[in-house]
Amino acid sequence: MSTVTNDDFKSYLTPFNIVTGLIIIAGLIVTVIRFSSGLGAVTNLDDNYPWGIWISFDLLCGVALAAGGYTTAAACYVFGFKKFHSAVRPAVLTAFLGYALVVLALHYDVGRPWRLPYPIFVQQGTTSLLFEVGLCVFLYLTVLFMEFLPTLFEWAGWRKLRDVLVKMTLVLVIFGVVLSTLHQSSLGALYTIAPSKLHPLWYSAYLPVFFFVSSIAAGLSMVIFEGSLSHKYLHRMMDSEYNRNHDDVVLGFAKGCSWVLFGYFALKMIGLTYDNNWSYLASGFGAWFLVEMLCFVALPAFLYAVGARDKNFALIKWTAILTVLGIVLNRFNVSLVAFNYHLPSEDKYFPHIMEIIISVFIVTVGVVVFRFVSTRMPVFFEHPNYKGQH
Amino acid sequence: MEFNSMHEFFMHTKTMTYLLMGGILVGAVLWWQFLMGEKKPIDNPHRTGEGHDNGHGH
Repeated sequence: MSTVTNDDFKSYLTPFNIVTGLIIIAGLIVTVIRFSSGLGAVTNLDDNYPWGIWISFDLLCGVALAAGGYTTAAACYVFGFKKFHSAVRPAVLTAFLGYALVVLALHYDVGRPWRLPYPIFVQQGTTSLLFEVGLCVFLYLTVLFMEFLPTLFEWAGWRKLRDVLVKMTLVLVIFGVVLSTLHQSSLGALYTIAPSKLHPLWYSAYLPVFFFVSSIAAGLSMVIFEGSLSHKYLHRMMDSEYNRNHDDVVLGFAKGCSWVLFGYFALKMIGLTYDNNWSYLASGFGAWFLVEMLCFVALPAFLYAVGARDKNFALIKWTAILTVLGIVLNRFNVSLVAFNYHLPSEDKYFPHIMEIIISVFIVTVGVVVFRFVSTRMPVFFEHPNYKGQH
Repeated sequence: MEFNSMHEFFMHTKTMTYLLMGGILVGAVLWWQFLMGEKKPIDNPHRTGEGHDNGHGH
């Protein structure tokens, strides 16, 4: 019979475990308050802002930043860039966890969370964009789970089930890309129904296109960012194939992301010109719009190009962080900052501390689960029993 | 600039958009040339040395 010694206990007291432990305890306390006392006890939401940081950050940013799954899988299996193969599993795991946490966050945000499956299974609002988002997220989460299952089955040693799912890979990837295209753009389309509430610099009939194109940049940047973090902290789990291809993945994604950001910047300018909104640039909101466009779109597009040309991996990694921040800023601008722009500042929404705690709690849960899975299952390395079978 | 009708507005903005798209096309070619002007080969020790399964072994 094994016994727990003082040394075992001390080995768990790492700074990472202490910080994550404290965040999870705080999150659980707020969870109890949220579900026992209701939304009003933990949020600053009101009639002007029925959607707060849980939608802006956990959902809009979460979905965009989880786009690495479909971009990497599409690059590898649909467009045939096999050099990106080693990045597929970490990206799919990140995407799966990202979407699972989006659904978890929705339970906090929806007034009656037990009715979350209601619009899909009981009463479908087929004319609603929100229905499309919900259906796509539900189906895409299922697809991502099936894409992740071979990793789980290899770990568990269930070869037959794993082989069946591996044969379905291409079909699943195609499903995933189609579903992602649909709901990434639908999230933008949600805001096209509020033309009088969203500032003209952010409002456009092209919002669905903006959201979709920027999600590709977010996905590519997240794979670079998350790959560099994993390389630093989970290096022991990586095999020679992953390490050999790592530089190609980073450079290829940097080039791709530079192109996507160039295209995104061009599209935003076309949207601005088509609606003739140039005069708004001289206002306070205009200055903020320029900060977003120049510092978080044009600058990273240029830095990615310089980094890819010079093979400057440090520059590429920092640019990935800048791009991720830019996407977060854009989603915040659309859903919070430029939303209800006509309201006086005292009526504007600012998240309650408990809302922020829940958002941090959900991200922390994602990091902990990612670390748990990737240190046990064949995510960064090929399972010895399945060498060359992917 | 003042517009007296919706038609006038769209004539103006669509003209500007087409001009912008022409500029973007030229810009895209220049961007491609800049992006693909690589300078040095990748310095990756994993390419030349013997690979170690499950990391570097250190």
